[in-house]
Amino acid sequence: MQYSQVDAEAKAVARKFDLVVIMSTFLALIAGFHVHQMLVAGDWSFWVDWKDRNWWPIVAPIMEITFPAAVQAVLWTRFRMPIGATFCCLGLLFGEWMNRYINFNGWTHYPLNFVFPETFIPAAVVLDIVLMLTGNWIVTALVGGELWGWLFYPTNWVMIAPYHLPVEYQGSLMSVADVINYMYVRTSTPEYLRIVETGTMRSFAGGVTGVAAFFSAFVSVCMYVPWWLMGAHFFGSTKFFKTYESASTEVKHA
Amino acid sequence: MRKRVMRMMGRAGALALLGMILAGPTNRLWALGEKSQEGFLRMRTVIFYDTQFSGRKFKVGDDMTVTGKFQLLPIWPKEIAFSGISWLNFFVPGPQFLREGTWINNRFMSCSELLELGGTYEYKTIAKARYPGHWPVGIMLSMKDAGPLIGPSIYVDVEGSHEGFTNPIKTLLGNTINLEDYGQSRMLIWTLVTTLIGVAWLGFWLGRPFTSRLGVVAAGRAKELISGADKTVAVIFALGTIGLVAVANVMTASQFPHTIPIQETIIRNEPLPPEPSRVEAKVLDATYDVPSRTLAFRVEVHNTGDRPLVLKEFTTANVRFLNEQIPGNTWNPDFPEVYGGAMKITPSEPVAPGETKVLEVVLASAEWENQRLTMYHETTNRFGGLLFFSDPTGARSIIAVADQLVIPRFGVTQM
Repeated sequence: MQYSQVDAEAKAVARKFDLVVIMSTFLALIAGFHVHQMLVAGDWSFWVDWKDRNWWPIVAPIMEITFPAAVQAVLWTRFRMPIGATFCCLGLLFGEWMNRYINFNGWTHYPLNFVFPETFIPAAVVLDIVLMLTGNWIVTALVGGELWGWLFYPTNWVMIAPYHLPVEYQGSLMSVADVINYMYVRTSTPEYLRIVETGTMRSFAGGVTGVAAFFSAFVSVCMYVPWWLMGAHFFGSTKFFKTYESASTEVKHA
Repeated sequence: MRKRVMRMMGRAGALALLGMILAGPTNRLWALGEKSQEGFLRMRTVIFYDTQFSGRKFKVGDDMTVTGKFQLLPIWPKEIAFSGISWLNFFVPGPQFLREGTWINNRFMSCSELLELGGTYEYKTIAKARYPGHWPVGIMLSMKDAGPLIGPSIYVDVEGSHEGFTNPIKTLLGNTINLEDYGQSRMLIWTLVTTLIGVAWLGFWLGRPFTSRLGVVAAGRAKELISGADKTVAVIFALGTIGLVAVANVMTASQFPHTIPIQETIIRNEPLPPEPSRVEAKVLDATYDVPSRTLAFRVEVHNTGDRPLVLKEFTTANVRFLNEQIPGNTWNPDFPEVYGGAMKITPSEPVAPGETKVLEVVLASAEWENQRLTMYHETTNRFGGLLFFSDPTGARSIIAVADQLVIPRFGVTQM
């Protein structure tokens, strides 16, 4: 057999192995990240009337920068692949859409415009690129974390703006999102359970979104650090593997 | 070999069962868990009465009206927080009905309302049938810190098809929108566009060998893995993504210049004025006989009116007991509550004007067990409910029993 043939076969096998690793990692991330997201920021993602300008842009980015930071740590330090955040967020989006389409829409008949998920993809791509260009996770935390927080609301405002049109419904002023919540009954989440803006940022002359985004970006920076460290030193660790030289004689003979 | 085949068949069977469950029809529900809450919670917090549903068979697009009253009992269980911040819920398994509106004391409930302890409220809910099926629907008061407090419910049948169903409303900018799919295309297109950016970025990198990079990095040659061209592409991606988001926001601002935040407030709603009462009543003691499933209590009644009074009904936790010795006071199958059975009252004669009398009320019913209202299993053995007195003209006087201790009688000597 020619060397070139062996080489080609080796490459084909390696590619198949790549595919198995990538797909299984992707599935694991969908499960892990989606469960995490539903537990820590689920309702803001599930319902259009929770997507406010105060709590949503704070809670969602802070809670969602976690997995991207940890996966970046592994994929960057071990593989030099600047795709950790994008890989995670695509998995999350895929899991969310399966949930919303099959469960919320298919089984219980909530309209999709009530239950569509937010997107983190643009912020994730930018976070990956900041890591790639700087090659430094602390700079990525500082610059990428800021951009992550700042980009979230503008990215999603494009989708939710129509639901903030004013409506006079039965003599009350409501947004379209409020009316959707009112009409499409959500028995287990009464109105008072919503954690949305209640007009408490009285010092900022109504500039709620900017303050929320600033705070969100700051905390995203802080959140990035422990999750990067956890990814790098726990999931990305190879300390459990020993080199051939350090193995005992018995192991070498075996 | 046989074991292996059996194991495989077992797995295939489990998978088939799971598939059948997942693919099964979703137009029927058999229970809502009304009885899952503790008996004392259902008997001593909110009592619903006079509940009426406008029908049990509807077509898609038909309106259903639910009316009735509820009283927040004056002595609220200490174990359950009372915040008063309430939302009169219409419960249904998903939006198979659209709630067009709920009114409490003729006031539209657009947001949560602050209700008063001991207050009686009248409500109306109008809901439009949206999806065909056999659905349980009902009324429930959700209270902040206290949780859901469940009212009467019925099963309704909705016929027809959801196809073509629309839900138009007019915005304050003058345009009419269909809430069934309003904004959906825009949301899908933007999700697709932003996702494609991510897929392209991922494809750019995953088109290369992946796992073999582990070895290259471990060998200290990580710098070889990213070229100058890669960095140029990355800059284009980053600037392009941020630019796209910026342009999309500028366009959104011009398309939707008038937007408002999510509306959030709490409105105080005064209870109905108290009805003139012609009776004073106080429960003296109560027992629950476990073998015969009988709640018995003595109530001291003082008639303060000028007409004779009879005890007509006792209602608690959506279970009604009727004094069927009163002509016409019999069970109607259209009642949405559960029929507890007949009340036995001794002495059975009416309480004359000005008279004070002790009545012994015996409520023998399997529903104490069926509805899980046997409190001897619980940490609080107290019951509550509403006593309905009536005079010959039909005028009602309602007395709340809010906090009466119950002594269980087990009927056997235990060793």
